Amino acid sequence: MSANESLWLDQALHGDPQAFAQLVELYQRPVFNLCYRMLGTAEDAEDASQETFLRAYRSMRRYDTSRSFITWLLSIAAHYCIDQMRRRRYPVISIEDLPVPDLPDHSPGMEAKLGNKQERERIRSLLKSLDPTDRAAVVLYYWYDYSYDEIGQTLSLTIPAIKSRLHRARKTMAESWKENEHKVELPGRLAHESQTV
Amino acid sequence: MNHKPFEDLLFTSDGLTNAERTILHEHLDICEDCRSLSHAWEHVAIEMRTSPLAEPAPGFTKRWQIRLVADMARRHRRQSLLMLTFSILGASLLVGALVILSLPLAGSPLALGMAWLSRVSILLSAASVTQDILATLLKMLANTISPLWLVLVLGVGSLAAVLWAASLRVLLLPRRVTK
Repeated sequence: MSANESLWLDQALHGDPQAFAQLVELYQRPVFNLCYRMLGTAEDAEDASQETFLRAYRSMRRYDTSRSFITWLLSIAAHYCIDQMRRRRYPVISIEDLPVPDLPDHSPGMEAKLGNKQERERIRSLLKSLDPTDRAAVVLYYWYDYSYDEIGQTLSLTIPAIKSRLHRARKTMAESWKENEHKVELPGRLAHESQTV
Repeated sequence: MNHKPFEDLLFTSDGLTNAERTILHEHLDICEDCRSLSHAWEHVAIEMRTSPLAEPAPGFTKRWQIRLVADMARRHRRQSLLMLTFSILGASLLVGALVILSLPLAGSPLALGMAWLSRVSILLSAASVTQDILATLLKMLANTISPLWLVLVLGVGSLAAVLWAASLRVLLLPRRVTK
């Protein structure tokens, strides 16, 4: 943690909104990314990440300074997104029917930062096949390189539970990939067959 | 064939020993299903590991600050409304109690008026007696204690009051969090 970050954190703990705004500036990207991977659309991710920072600001007195601040923020974000997904019944909605989300920023660099549309759609489709808590565990493991212990702290789960969830998630995603690959291959093969016929 | 033990090895979170790795590779060589699952998982892992962090649109912090102000205003309004509701509820309860207490006297308004008049006169006479007692006490004090002592006692009393107010302020400030 840098000296500035430490100072802003100290001031934010005393209720300084300007200092907290500096922390928002610093941590907006990881929080937004988690919300985006969890909820699948930029609009929902924006709303969830804004709400995460509001909740964090309101709960600053309860923040345990012995814990990492970003882990605490991601914990709030993950729980909020899991709650939203369960409330809105996200897994039931067929995301394939929805258009691929465009992020609010349409600058040329943004597309490169997020990979191409197909890649985004593939990842979203893979994550969609997972239970909300499994999805959070996968995002924290693969995008944030969190250890099992850190994921456990963030999601309030034990290490064996995290391992079990990741195991299940990997299998589900591999099967989903295999299935989609098959679906993609099939029309191509049919087109080829029709040409020969 | 039971593929579960090999799938467990394929998706394990604990890492594989050399013996386990050999068993898995031997199985993958002969099992088409598990091999395709293994390839699918390799693709998925690469896809996730190479996907960058998504970024919010520029001006995120500014939008958060606007949202914070709106949220604080909304919470303040809600608190004011809650206070008003409690005040109205309390006042209603008091008025209700007053009405219930006054019910027996409602039949004769003159008796009610006389009862209130009597209570007010009792209060006024009690205040007058208290005033007389206090005046007598002050006169006695002025005669028995020298003016220097009076100034000293008043000074110490004032100092104690200031100290009390200052300590109250310190105690009511947000608790300092040490790291």
